[in-house]
Amino acid sequence: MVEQICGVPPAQFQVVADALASTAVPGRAGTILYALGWTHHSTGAQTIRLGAMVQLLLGNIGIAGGGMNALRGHSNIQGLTDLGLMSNLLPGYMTLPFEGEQDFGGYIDARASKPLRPNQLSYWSNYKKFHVSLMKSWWGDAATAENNFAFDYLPKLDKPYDLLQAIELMHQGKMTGYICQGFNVLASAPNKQKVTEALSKLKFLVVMDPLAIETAEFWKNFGEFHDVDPSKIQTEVFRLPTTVFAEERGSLVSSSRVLQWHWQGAEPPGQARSDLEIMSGLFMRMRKMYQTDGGKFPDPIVNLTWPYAKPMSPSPEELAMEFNGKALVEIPDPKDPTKVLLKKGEQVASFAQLKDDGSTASGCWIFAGSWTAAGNQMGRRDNSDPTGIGNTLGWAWAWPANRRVLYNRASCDTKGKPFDPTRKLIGWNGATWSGADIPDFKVDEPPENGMNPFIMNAEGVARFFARGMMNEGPFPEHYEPFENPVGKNLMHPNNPRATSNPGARVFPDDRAQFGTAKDFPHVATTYRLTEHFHYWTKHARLNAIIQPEQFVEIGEGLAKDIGVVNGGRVRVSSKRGSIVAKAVVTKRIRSLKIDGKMTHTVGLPIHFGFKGLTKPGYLTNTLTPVVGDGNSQTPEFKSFLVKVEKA
Amino acid sequence: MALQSLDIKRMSATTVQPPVARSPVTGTVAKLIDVSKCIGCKACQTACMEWNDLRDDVGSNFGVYDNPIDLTPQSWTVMRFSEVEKDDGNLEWLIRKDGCMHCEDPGCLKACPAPGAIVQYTNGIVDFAQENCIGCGYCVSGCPFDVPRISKVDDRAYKCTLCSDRVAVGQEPACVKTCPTGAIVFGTKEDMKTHAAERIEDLKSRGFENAGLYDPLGVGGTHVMYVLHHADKPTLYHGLRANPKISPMVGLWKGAAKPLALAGMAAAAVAGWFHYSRVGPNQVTKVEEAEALDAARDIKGERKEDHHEA
Repeated sequence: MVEQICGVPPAQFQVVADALASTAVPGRAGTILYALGWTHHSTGAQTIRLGAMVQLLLGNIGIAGGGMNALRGHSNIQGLTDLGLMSNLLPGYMTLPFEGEQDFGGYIDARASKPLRPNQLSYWSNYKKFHVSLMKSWWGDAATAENNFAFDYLPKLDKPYDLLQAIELMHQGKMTGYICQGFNVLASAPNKQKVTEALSKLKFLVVMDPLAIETAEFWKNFGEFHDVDPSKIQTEVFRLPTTVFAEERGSLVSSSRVLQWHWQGAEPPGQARSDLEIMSGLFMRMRKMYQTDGGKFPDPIVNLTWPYAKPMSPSPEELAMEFNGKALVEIPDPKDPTKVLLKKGEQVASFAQLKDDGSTASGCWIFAGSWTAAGNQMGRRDNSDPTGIGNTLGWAWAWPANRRVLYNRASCDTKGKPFDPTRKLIGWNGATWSGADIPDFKVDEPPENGMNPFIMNAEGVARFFARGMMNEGPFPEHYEPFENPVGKNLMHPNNPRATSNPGARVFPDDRAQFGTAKDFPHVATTYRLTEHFHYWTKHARLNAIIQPEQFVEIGEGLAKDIGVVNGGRVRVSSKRGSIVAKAVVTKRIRSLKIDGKMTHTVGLPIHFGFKGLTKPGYLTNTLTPVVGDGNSQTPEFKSFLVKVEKA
Repeated sequence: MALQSLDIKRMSATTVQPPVARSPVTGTVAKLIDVSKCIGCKACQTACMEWNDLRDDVGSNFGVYDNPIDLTPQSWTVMRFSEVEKDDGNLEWLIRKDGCMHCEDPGCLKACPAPGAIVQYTNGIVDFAQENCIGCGYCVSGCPFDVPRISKVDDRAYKCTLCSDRVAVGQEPACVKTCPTGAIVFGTKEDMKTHAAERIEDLKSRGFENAGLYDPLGVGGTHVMYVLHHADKPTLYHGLRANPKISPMVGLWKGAAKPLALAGMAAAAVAGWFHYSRVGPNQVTKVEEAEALDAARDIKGERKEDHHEA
């Protein structure tokens, strides 16, 4: 069945399965590293969950060299989610309340999960401490116990406001202004035609970017590559040139959760300003308007704390200290009340010191410890590795608590002895847990008391059965992409509703834009090349020299079918549009036998467009369908249907 | 590795005795390219352009990943991509970083008629001194690896310098510094051979039984070496030559023919002296001069025809 669905011969599948399974013994470790190849599907979250389940079964979670690791597409995407920049998140993986959660106590109780089994840690039971400290960080004295620490200031979500939702709302004329910060939405979002129409309906579009990106010129005609009529587009576009990472200081969070400070390498060109300066300028002006003119609900704006030495230009150091957090009053030592744990205004040493009574502030609880009274821990550069297993606790700083391997209690047996003594992360020495890493566990908890390693879960163990966490249900299941060459789910051939992910959200207009294998017989997948970084480096001459012109890749079988040779031109069309590009005919893309039929794939490198130094080309999102993963709404860029013809 | 002097060991078209009072204590240098670790990212191409102030044209796609499609006076290294189908049906994507091999016995230097246009340092690097280059292109035909390229801008030959300017101050070449996978390493030739031996052993343990080092003897060994997973078939790697040798024409021109020519010149000089001392100075009549001019025109005409055929 696996072969029938995905075209991989059983013998080859067996090779991979054997290699993975061989890591199930204590002396071996296996890791899974995934990137957009797994996430860009309508079932992406389930695939990753499945990987995590396999790793749990193999004993590869919590050990040195193990894990389920996301390779991020930008140097600081981990930082983006850490700081809660997704529309439903608050910093530190706390969540915004939903529309039905108007009651503060109810909001906290739903998230501060109590242990479900005896003597489990259930660390989220501290949720209120982290949440109140965040609200104190944002609204200071305006957040009091009496007003539930300004709970009413928080927006209450009626639905998620992810990228696809935002474009849909623009397209419906319901979202009329858009601030596009460091994001080339015309190139990055699916179905360029829809995005163009959506942006054309806006009253204003603000583009903050270091480069002259396509989005800022979506209203201009670029001939065959972007054929619009500027006289019909009334959107007012503002361009605010920003610095790039090398022209500013700050921290970047890697996918292994290491916050590494970096220093400025060059002065920005021209009138470019940092994102911090631009956002501060916007905020200061808006606050002034609310202060003088009032508004429907000015409180969250006018009461926002803005404690920076230069209000128009907060420094990265000030922000980093704010994320770490500090004591707002003198805090006595809980073990000896005659002693002082933290003086008023002192940086907290860790999130364990945060309080739920408003006496501490922390802008992002998981970052607590990154900038302590001892200074900037992210700037540390000691790469010594005392045990030789590659754990460098003195290099920069990792959340949480400078811990490098999450759930590392799982590297030991029930008695606290490491399964693999040659790769010891931590162990129980009779009194405490210690070792090459910071224990991810209650440090003085004897193993015989039965506390389990998965301390963030109320039950203390990992989950094979997800209670209400995933939209599709408790277990992963195979679903076909929304556009697929088979037309049915081979595992449920008689249930059309189970063809593609029933948990995915599809807007009606977008569903009407799905094609079928009858008209679009070839499978398309988008990807990146080593020579380029997203849509940035086509603006850099050196990168443009080493990969100068748009191409698509097709296998030898398809090339023969359509009569195209290497370097010839092909037209690739989907229900949503078409592009023309040079063809690279390659043995690397093979035809797959899917459900008994030979199926051809075309590969679409994404990097090209009509701005920059590479030869002008099409944005590949001219072709892609608007549907996201059922949980994360990450667009399905990795499998959809097209037709490839000789151009 | 210790700092290296740039003492010249050999210089094109000159008989000046090079300095020999000192030699590199650590021996010659070498760059080792482990083809099995290369991912074809072209960071080396970019670093080469950055360090050496080169900017090639933004070109076109030719149906392959290779770009620029060939070495040029502005691209001193390029990646060569080869898709090789194996007998078991599996595919290997062999990616070779191409550029000057810095031969111990450099065909370019031997072929070069311009004094001091091509030099070889005592550390093994073969370098072009463009200010002495006359643009004749003999280095191109002399090179067994087809590396030098003549610039249309100044009619002079260009190629990889092995970053001799960096090496002279104890730094590795720019491509080595930038390589993200550690596929390119640099050090003394001896250390690189040791490192290669370890890599080959590792590759053999992974089933590449013909893994080996490419350091061809036909050119006296090279100061850029490859670790190949299929050292028995170098041509799989985009036509890397199995037994590179300096063209016999260069051998003839600078080898056997050179003493003959010198002897001929010496003989002519001696004969001339005898002629002068016994017969006295040559007297040329006007008739003889006119005949000579006609003959010269004929020769020039013939030479033009030769050019057309070439």
